[in-house]
Amino acid sequence: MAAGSGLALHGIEKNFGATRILSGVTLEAAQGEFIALVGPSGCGKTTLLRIAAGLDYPDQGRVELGGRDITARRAADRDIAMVFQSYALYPHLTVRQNMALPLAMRRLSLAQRLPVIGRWLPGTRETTVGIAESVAQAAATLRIDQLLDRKPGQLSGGQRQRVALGRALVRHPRAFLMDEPLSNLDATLRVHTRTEIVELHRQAGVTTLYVTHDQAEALSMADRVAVMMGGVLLQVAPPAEIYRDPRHRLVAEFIGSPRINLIDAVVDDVGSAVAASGEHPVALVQGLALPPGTPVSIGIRPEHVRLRAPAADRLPVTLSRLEFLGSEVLAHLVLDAGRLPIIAKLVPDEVAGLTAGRCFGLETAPADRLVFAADGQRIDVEPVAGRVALHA
Amino acid sequence: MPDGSGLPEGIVLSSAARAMRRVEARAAWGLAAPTLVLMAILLVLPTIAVLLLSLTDWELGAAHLGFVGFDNYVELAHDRTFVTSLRNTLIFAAIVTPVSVVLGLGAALLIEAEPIGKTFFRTAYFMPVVSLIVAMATVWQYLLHPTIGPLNALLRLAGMGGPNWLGSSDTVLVSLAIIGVWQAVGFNMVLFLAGLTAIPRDLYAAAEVDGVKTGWDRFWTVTWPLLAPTTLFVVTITLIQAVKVFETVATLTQGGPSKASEVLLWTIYQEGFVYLHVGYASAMTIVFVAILMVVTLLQTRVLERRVHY
Repeated sequence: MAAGSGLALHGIEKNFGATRILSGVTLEAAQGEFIALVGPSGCGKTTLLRIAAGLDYPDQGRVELGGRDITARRAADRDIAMVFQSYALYPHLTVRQNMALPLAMRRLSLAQRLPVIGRWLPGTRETTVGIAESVAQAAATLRIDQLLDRKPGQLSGGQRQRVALGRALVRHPRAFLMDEPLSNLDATLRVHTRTEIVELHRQAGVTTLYVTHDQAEALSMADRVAVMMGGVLLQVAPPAEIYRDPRHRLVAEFIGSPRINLIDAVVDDVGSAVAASGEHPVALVQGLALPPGTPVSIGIRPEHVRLRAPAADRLPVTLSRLEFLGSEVLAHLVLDAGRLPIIAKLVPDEVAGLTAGRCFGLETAPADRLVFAADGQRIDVEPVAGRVALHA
Repeated sequence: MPDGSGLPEGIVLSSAARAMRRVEARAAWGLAAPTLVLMAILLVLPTIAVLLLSLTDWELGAAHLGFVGFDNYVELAHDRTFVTSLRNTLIFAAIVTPVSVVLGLGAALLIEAEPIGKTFFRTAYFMPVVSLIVAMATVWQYLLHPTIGPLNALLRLAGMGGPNWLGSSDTVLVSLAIIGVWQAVGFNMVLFLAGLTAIPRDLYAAAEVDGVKTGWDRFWTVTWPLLAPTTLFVVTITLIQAVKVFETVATLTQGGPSKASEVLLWTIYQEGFVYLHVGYASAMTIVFVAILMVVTLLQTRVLERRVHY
């Protein structure tokens, strides 16, 4: 993972008119790394990808590939391949011709590409044979050999997606850019193709920047996940880390399904975050070095919520509905104070005999309570020895 | 079960289902009836009437009508005016169609490429389409006038003697073709503009990433192939319009000089409305319609298969 040998974007800024799309985005992918760029639609991730491809130019910032500055180079001169959401296959060309086109454009001269005449120019034959071999090889890798003579219109969505991958793969580029390549596939095929793309990436070892709005896709495929919101990169980290240790409330909310539970709390005189709860406020987190009265939110993942008997130090909740999902059950709860919905992910055994309307006390391990400041930034809490216990 | 129900053999419908089908069929015919009647009255019957008239020697207003079989058609084949007319029409169409299609496409590409002045140029090029050609013909007559016309004045400035554009049998067809092109370019341009906007932007981005660098390569890789359905339509429409040339001939040359601008519709008009040889004119009309039918069939049958993906 030599620094600067992969694909790097430094301080990218982009405005469309008065609208700021990207503000100072820096993202470095090491050689051979698979980075998933994830965020809600309109967050600027596709724009960032187009800037990496050379289809758009940044107002500020630098694009580097293999340690070289390619900011001013047009897409055709960058050694980067892209897979489009719409696949963007040439409808009039066969699969074979679609896959050969990027090679023909690079290896054959203008004259050699002329119909009829080009065939008789010196070198055309040898180059054409080489192109045919590369296409056959890529087609074999993707197992689309039997489709080579069809046109895109005769292919299913999944097959088109493979051809689009093949067209990118065939020229062995230094980097792959993928713009939501799975969003037009049905759910089953999507999960299947996910694995295939990861496998393909493992074989080819090409630096990949993968744009998606699906956090599950990002978590399951990437070496590192980059979460983007409103034109700002909030966090770049390996999937497990970004899930366990989100640095921003928006990241915590975006990553993970069902969504993280967020409970409003206020810092009290002794540095505890206290959630309003009728007559008995409950201290959720201790040892905060914040002035009294500071509002914070406490994030708790649904799988970390346990339902216990009501007690003074447990937030009282009422069960409203159980959602059975097979291996797990989602318990939809309502926080008694503030009518805030809370979701708990439980195993089926835990919910035996539970009925809607019952009251519980909400319990979690202190380490599973994430504290976020009002501006969304995460506040780290040092577990204090002896005070980690549940009681405030 | 060859009963016309369209069902595979061996499938027998219950009586209720059969009754339902009958009701539906009756309703369908009832709904289609007004259109069918109008089509018969306005399209089918007149065509049959012309076809029948073309087999007679009827003259407008004559009390007698004699059946002459294919005599009219035999006469057509030996009629030098008609043969000249047919040849002139084809030459006219052979000039106007390719030139106006290429210019229309060129104009569309230029307008599409340039963000400034789009509306102005689109309107300017479309003017000839909406203007009255009979009125505009006088402008052309002035432009092409051998002595006072600006075109020849320009040529004289360059030291060349301009021809008598509309007055000489060598140049009259070309002059009419120039006017024909002027008329057709705007319409073709608008059609091409519509076709261009329908090309997905992603394809251009993909082509760029694939290493397509020059405008030339971009045109042949993406634009031209994806415009193919539009081009086919434009060519057909232009061809049909060109074969139907009439107004400029009627107002500017009346088929002259010495039949050098004699075209099909003008000849038919002369025979039918001036000499009142309705039977003979009908035979010409049938030939004329046959040409248009061939063009249309060529479009739908042969070319469409190769152009739509």
